[in-house]
Amino acid sequence: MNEDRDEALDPDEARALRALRSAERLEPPADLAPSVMRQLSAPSNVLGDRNPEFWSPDRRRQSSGGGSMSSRKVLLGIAAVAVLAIGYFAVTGFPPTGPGSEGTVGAAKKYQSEQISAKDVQLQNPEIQRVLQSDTFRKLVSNPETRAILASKEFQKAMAAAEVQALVGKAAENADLAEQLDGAMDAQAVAGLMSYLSRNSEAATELDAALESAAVEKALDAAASKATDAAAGKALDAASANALDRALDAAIKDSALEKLLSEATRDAAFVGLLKNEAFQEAIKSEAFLGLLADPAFGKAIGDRAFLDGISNGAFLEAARSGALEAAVESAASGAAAGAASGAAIEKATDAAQGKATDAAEPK
Amino acid sequence: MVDGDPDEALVARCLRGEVEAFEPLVARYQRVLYNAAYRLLGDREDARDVAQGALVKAYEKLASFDPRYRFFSWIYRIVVNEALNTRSRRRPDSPLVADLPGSGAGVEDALAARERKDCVQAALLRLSSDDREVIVLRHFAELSYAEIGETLGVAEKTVKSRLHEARQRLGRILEPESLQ
Repeated sequence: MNEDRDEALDPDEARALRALRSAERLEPPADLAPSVMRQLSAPSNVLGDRNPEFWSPDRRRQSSGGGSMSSRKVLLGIAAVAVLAIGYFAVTGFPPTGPGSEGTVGAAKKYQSEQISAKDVQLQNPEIQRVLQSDTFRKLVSNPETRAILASKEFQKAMAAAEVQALVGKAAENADLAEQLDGAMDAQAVAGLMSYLSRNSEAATELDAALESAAVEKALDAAASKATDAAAGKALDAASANALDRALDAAIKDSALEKLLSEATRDAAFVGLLKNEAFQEAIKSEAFLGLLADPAFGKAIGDRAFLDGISNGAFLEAARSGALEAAVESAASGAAAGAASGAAIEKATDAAQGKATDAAEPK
Repeated sequence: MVDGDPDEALVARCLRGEVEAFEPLVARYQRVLYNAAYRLLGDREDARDVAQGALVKAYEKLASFDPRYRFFSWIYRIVVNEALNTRSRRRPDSPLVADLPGSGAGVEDALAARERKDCVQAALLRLSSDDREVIVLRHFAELSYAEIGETLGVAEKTVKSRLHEARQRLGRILEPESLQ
């Protein structure tokens, strides 16, 4: 490669050349090449984002047969909402519930008059604290639609039962819903997730397997039919589909959501939540679909700092340990202050760790 | 012999759906890409992730590769982009510059102690991205001036002048006084 000779023209350059010639050349990790080839050989790599036709508007409008990418976008959007909700509950506890929209409006007003302050956040991880106190996060959780979802009985029930299970189920193969969500969801975020899936065989295989779940298929079919009516006004037109394609192409090079899914798809509690019956009930609601269609939501899940925080290992560990559930119960029983739920998470995390240690002790 | 096949032939086979044809390309370039990523980022784990991600991404985007250019130049740009993305994702409190040798250490001593502190790497990380990149391409990717020019999209004489200036700046950072 290198037929030229380097000659120093002055003492500074001579010093640099000596140093560069003596610098260590590293050997790549032994598993680098095998890891690459494993990813390329995995079924997930057939996801299609290396196929130029894959992201075309025509392709996405097709009513596909079996695990379409659009249906996966639906699921991933739901996943993002779930993570969002976890973050929300971790800080504020459960919102007060009430019948119908009155409770929601009241809750929204209450929230708008109260800013989250540092003292309200007692999670130990500073990165999470930073994210949860960010403007993006504040704007998102002050959104009435978001609050309507979080205040719903179904959603609370779902969130309280973060049991261990495999990943999501088969999405609705409904082109209308898929297109609506294409327009609603942040293009960069979706592209990042798809890019991640295309390179991570474990996550994609898990997702593929879960896509066969009849339960989730049923739930999302119902969601699709509602969406056709409720969110019809937000459907993509041809122009926005083209714009999305361009955005996807640009965004696929880089997205913080890769990190999110990297953590989330390996987190049993998180994926269990997505398969939870109550959660599936919750996602049938019009309000939930409205949330997905909200630009604020799209912006939030595209926010790097936000995603870095919620995909943090410590944060997911809290959910995995059952701490989230404990915090939710604590909040629902009347101790619903942000500080209380943060403390509950820490307490439950400690308890879970102690339980694990006990289990490991020889009897 | 597959390993001896030119890059273009291997790329063509990949595009016909032969995934295994990518393996010789990985074997051929993984070392130089990993070293380049390490010298750009200063972290071995990050370098591994970047090299791996870039290789996978290169395969996925192979259809967009223009065979009029060298395969390495193309994949190297992917590594650089991945490295920049990695840097931008770093936490604000994450130090970019590695520790330099302690006060009073002369450059010769510092170079002798590079196994412990790798002051070359620390000095590289003090350079601008442009300076660092041209040095990495020349001294760690071991490209010719013409190849660097192709990779960076500049004329060969521009490469020479950039390299000279970048090495001067690196040399000044490596002065004993700068290391104190």
